[in-house]
Amino acid sequence: MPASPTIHRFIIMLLAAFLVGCDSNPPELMAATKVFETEQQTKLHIAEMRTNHMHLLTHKRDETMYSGIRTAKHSLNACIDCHVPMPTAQKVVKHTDAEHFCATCHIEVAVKLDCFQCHADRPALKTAEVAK
Amino acid sequence: MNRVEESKDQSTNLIDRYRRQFLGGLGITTAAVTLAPSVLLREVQAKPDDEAVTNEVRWGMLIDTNKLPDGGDSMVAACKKEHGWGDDPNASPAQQSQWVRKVTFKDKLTQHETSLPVMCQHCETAPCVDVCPTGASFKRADGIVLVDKHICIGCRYCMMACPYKARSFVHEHLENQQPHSPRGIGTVESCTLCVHRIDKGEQPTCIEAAPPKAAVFGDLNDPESKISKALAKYGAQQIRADLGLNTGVRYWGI
Amino acid sequence: MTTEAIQLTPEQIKTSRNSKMVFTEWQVSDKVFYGLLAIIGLFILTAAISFFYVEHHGHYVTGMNNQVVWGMPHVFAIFLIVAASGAANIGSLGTIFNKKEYQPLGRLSLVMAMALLLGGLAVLVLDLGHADRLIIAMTYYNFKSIFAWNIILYNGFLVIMAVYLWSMMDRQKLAKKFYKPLGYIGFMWRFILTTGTGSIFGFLVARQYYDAAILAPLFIAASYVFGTACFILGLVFFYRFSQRDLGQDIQNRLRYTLAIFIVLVLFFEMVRHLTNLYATEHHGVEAYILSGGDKITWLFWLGQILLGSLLPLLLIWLPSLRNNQKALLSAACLAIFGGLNQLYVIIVGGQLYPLALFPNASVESSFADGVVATYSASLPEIALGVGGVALSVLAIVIAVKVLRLLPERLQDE
Repeated sequence: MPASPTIHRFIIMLLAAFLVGCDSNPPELMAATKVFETEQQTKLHIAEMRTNHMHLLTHKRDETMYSGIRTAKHSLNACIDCHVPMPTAQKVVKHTDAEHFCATCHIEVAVKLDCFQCHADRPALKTAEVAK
Repeated sequence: MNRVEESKDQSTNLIDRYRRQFLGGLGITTAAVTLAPSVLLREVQAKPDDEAVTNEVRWGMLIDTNKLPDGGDSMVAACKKEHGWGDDPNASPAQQSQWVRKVTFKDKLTQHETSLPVMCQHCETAPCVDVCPTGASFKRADGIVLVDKHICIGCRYCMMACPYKARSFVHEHLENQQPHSPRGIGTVESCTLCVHRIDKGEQPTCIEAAPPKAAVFGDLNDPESKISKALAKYGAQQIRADLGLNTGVRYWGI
Repeated sequence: MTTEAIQLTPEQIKTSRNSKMVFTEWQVSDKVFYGLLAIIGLFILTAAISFFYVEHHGHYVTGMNNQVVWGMPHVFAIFLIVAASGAANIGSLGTIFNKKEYQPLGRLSLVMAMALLLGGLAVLVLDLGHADRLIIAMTYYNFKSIFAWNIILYNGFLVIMAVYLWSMMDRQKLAKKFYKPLGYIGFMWRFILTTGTGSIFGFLVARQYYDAAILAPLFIAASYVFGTACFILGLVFFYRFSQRDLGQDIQNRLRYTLAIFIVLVLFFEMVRHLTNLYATEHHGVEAYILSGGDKITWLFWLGQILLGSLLPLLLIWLPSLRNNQKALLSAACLAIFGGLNQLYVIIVGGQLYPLALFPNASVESSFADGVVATYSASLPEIALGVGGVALSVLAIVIAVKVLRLLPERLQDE
């Protein structure tokens, strides 16, 4: 016995409900404390990081650890200094907070971060001042 | 005694000359490195950030215990401050990390008491490197023994293997670590010879904090370095020399 | 599935004596089976809770510290792993040494070996500081590390035992062809595996109580004790509860095998301690273990030697206790107890004694140099260790219930 149109529509609606969580746009990320000189640089950086950030993290860390290569592109601290606000007396942004740059997306996709088990998740006063 | 005074003079010249050379030569150093890195006589010079370390250099330390009236307390305090270990909130005293500690020993026959700071000895054939199942405990090409905490599974076998009890295990969640010194739960840690400073051309923080003339840091492979000259002239002792590990940390007066 | 024991008539027994050995599943009432599972499940649940507790908070909630880095979980884990190696020996006796009386026991022996190993590995892995990085341990290898070799040896053991078991259970000619070769491979693999386990400690130059080649053969001898004792307990338990007949012959064979292995362990321990007592270098640690008056001394003399080795020997060899099943079971239990004590003395005792950085000097520091450390096993550690045992028991119980591992009769000929 063929299913009636009503049942068809009901099934489609039910399945569509599961699509509610699907949003191809990433969540709103906290603004960086420093900006690139040109808009194009910013766009390139965002595109590169969206595609490659995990690959960069896992392979550049080995180059630093085993070969002592410490360029700005190899430094996690360089990322943190830009993307995480310096702690102040009023507010400290930790990696467990939802607005932390890394946590925003990682909470959204439920992928556990263990970087900050060891690495500092916020800039230290000295490096931030040096960056200025 | 003759040897002590001689070494006092030697060490004064050693450290002062080193300091002058280092501070004064910064400009020349950076320029020269890009032109002819192998020609320059090296003290501690900053290698370029994008260049891999090689085994041309072997970093080492020489500690003169006779010149340490506090037995190394200031060195221990400086290390604590630099790396942020020593007051993890939940660990019991026996579980607290100790990258370097002051050890006092008194010989049973002579009753002579000596105090010295003991940290990772950065052995040439380190037992901790041999036993690590994942290879997380490794020796960098320039002789520094490190823990790659990315692949450390926290089995603590290296802690069993180290004859100097140099390694500590992190027993709790940590936060607000020093950015230049990552340390975290479930991994093993030990003295890194301040590798983050060495790579920038500075010296380990314990050397800087030590009383004048008490500790030297430098390249053991360079016969012209201050440390090599001091070792060639007076020799030095290793802790547990019988194990044949050829440590990078040597002592006078133990 | 029947819930009563299969009763064979005298004629059936007579005819089947001349035919092949029959293996059947463990027949026991549902009440007993599920009751057993429930009790085991409780212990496993406690272990799971303790694992998540330690993993969440960090190891500061355990009794292990920077002086005693391996504690109660490792005692249990290494016991189970070493016992696994020895439990497979019963199968080897049948296959390689052609002892016909042991051949029917081969299936149970192998399954027990696999189950014990799984339990031991589970405890070892769950105690890691980063248990979530187990895949790293399986993909990054430092081949100079005996630990790395052990990972390969343990996994290989499981594979070999599985194929060996298949060669026993599958009636095809192809399967039977593998029987002898795998018996030999399994035997050699076991020796290498247990040597590797002993060498975990034997290869360490740092500690006064380790750094001895004799630890490898000591562990091999100990594996035979633990494995045979566990096998005896399992065999008697399964036969009693399914009302099968377990002949005196097989019990006596196992009894005296156990005794010989206990003597072998005593021999190796004696050689080890006598050699250490000869060398001045080791006098300190020997004095601590053998006469320090500490907990460790009690565990060694009372736990390992008296109750764990001499008393079982007495129970086995006293003429008046010949053929006494209770004596056999007590001896097996005591041997296991002695084994746990032995491993505690080796693993924890070896760590309690300080490192000798400056011989012939009295040493002190803020990091417990020169002083004997203290260790007190915490509840999460004990729960994890016992949970590993429970996991092994669960695996064996389910295996005998579901697979045809138990010989129908093991009566005297």
